[in-house]
Amino acid sequence: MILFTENVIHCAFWLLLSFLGVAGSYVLVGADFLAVSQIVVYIGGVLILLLFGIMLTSNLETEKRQNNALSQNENFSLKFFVILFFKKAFYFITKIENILAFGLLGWLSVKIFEEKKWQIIPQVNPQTTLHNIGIRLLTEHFLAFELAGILLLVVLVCVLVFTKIKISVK
Amino acid sequence: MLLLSAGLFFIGLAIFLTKKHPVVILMGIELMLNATNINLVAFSQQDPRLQGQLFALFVMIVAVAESAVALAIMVKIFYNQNTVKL
Repeated sequence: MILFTENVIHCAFWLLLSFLGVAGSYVLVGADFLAVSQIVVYIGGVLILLLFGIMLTSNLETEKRQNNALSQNENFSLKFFVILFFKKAFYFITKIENILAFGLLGWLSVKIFEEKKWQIIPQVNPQTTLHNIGIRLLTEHFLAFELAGILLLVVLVCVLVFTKIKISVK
Repeated sequence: MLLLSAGLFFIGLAIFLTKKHPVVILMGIELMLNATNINLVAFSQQDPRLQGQLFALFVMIVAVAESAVALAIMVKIFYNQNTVKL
């Protein structure tokens, strides 16, 4: 989906979906700590960072045009908004890739609900990898852990120094 | 699992090769790193020492650092040249 969309913001939202999918597959193979850190780090960190990057580096002229269009729209009544919404929805439906994606999703969900009789397996002593990972991180891989911390600090300071805008102090 | 990671890797590679906007290229790189992470986790599924998962954790940290630096460079280029299109 990121391949087919031209809008950068839409790319970011499709990326959110794929990150969630990756986190779900981590859960399926039993790497629960990695799934949680995937959600926290990628969706909470990287995606927000990417959105900030898009906002900071988007062209100002097109943004102004869009803002003008928005403010013109706001002058009209609520009815206009409803019509606009339906137009947008129609446009969304008519695009072939959206039809493909939602058709696939619907077909898969119908198949799953037909095939599966959902039954709850009694969980016997659910094992988490959190304890194991914590112990191993601070004993065997302690050097790498410290190096990762130092790397993050260096990156933080470098980015701050690099993007510093000179502020004239009176 | 391996098929999923291979598919994700090639989608990331295609994004990386075809897109014009550098932020989207960065997204492609993130997707490729995610694919490698899935691969590592899939191979460490039976490993009691969980080395693959630990390595995936470090890959995640490095990916975050890399994306932060790349975005900083992009913001700086934007201030200088008023566009970031490649």
